[in-house]
Amino acid sequence: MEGRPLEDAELARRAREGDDGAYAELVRRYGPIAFRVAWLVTRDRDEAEDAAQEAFVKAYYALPRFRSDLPLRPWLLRIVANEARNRARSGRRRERLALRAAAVSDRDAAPSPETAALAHEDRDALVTAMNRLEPRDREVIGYRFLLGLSEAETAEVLDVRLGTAKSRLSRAMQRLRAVLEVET
Amino acid sequence: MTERLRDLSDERLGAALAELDVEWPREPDLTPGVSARLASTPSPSAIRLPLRRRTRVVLLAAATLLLLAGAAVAAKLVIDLGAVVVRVSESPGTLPSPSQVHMGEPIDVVRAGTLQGSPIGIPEALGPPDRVWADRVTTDAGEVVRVTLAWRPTDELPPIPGSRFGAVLMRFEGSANIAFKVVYNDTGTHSSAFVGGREAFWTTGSHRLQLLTGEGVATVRVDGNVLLWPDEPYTLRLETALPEAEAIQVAESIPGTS
Repeated sequence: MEGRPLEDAELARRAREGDDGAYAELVRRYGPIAFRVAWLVTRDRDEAEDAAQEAFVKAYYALPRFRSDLPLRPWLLRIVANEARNRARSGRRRERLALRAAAVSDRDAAPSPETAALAHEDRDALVTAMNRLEPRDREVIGYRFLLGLSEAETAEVLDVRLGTAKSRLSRAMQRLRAVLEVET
Repeated sequence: MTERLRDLSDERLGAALAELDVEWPREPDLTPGVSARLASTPSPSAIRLPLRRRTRVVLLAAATLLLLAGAAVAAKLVIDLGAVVVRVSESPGTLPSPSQVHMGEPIDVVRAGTLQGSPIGIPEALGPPDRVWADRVTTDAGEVVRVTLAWRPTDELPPIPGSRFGAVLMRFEGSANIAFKVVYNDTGTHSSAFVGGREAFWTTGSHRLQLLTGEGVATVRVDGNVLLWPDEPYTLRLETALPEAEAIQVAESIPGTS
């Protein structure tokens, strides 16, 4: 894979034709965000890793159904999210890890306006509130803002229409505010 | 302090969340694990074919199996019937013990049909079912509904080995993999069949069924006789203790099938 990185569609096409290297490249490309999507749902590192791996296997077999004119990333992430949800529902009860804010470091010396406005206590309050949300709300907020997916990608990963995703996000934000209010 | 957060617009609150800089768990390299899992399964070209081609594969696979069995060669074939994928392979020695399967919530047959998008065809040979369940299953193609009907044994309907029912009919919505059946060469037999002119798959003897349920994946040892056939957009699975010809008669007594 020298030179300019191949487009997703080209890698997917090659993978469909049996090029294992092309599929490995897609796994490398989207493995990190796939893991995070799975972790947002399972909040268990091992389970998230297993779900993400299994999802990539399922995606491999589903490649012939993938429409090459559509973006690959949300399609992959939807499979990952579904796999993670199935595992989360499967009844295995583990201690779920909570979201944590990273320690403030030197790189915050030149913060963005939002960061500058986000005082340490605010960060703690936001993280605590996120952890207290219902999984469904945490998922939509996590995809949209923590992982930075677009609204369209968030809708696809949730497997709902764009309008539904927007209203679900809006309701989740309302509930986040409600949790913040309780904490005050 | 959180008062200020609460007063932010969705856009500003979203921006604040985006700036949170969450401490994610260390991301593993998924590539080796995915490669290992893929190496233990067949290539995708053997799995996802358009339905007509897939059903032709059933016949081809059955014919191939006869050849392979004659030559005592280990077979490892995959047959895709839509919502149900069948793999034929060597027995691992002992079959897993059956586990309790959550079939979903009890429901009446009319509502079950509404949930799945079209009325459920009841086999006239069996009459109204004694039990109906519906389960929502999340697959790679989205959320789909599986409906299960069950009939208690009667004089004409012997009990399925290991079951309190004489017949179980499942209707799977969509073409996503909801069930994965493993038929072992030495404990089960398998062949092609026809239901209402449609190519079908007939299995007898102990085999293993992995079923995606709303609560996760359940693994079941199946000792009954199973008839699988596609009826687009559904896949149907009839389990009984009946011989093949009678099971096909039951299947073909579903209105619109024969």
